Amino acid sequence: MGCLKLTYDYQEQGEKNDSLDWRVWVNPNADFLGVVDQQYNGSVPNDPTANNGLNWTDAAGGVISSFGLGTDISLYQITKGGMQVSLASKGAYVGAKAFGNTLGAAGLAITGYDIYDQGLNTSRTLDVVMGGVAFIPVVGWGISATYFVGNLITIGVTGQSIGDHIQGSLTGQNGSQSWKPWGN
Amino acid sequence: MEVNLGNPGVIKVEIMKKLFDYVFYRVYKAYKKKDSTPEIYATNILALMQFFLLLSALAIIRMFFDFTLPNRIFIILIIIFLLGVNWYQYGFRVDVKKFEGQWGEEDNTQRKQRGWLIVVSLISLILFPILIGVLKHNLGVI
Repeated sequence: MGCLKLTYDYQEQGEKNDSLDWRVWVNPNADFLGVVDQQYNGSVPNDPTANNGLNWTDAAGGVISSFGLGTDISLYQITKGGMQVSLASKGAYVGAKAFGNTLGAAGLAITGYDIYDQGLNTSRTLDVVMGGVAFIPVVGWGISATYFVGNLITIGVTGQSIGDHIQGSLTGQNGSQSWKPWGN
Repeated sequence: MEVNLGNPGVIKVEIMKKLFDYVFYRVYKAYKKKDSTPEIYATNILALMQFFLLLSALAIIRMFFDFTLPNRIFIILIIIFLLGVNWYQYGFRVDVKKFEGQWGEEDNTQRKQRGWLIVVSLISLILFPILIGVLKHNLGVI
């Protein structure tokens, strides 16, 4: 169960230059569970229709009908630290995280196949490491996604991956070749 | 007397499904302590495990019956398919409370043993085809 803040903007409805906030409880499926409180913001701080005599059923009904009518309500999640995070921003963050982590997983899987098929070199070693980094909580997905996107750009521009360039500069040979510790 | 033992194929699929559910649940629980979106990690780790399981099986079969490997595009399509199926099955619509009811009260020793088994299995599945590739192409010993 989490706490959401709903803001009803009177100005956008052409009524007043004020707004009415609700804090409501929702479950993980965003089903409405109940109202915590409501706060009227505007030129009349003690508007009796907004702050006093709160009736949970009426308030809940108001929130639900506002959803149903499609009026402009902005959603925020109130975090443990008391910060209000816009749900739209949170959605974008989770989307980026899912993309970054999935890119890392796909990179790890493709590289695993490449190593099985052609052997190990600097590029594939880097790819395996960065694929693994994607699974480090909180920050890993960002590091991994940056590497894989950067690697794709490098391949697009130069025709060789970051690892190929590193191996090429160290050995002076074609960086895409597999390492051969002895002979050929 | 006739005893209905059920369809063996269906039973095997159900066992596999339960195994994947359990792996998802354990990875989800492990990441939940450290991250706000554990389902992302759990779904992708499960897809990775399934892919490397297939790749390891392919590597074992190729040890005995040598054949040409499928095109890289085909492999990429398999990876996308596995990621897609797992996201559909677990990422978007999984009910973790159902798994909590099934395995939430698991014995502590058994939970630890199974946890280690998942970690060792995942590492082994990833390392096995990599090791075969290194032995074959880098060191040339097989």
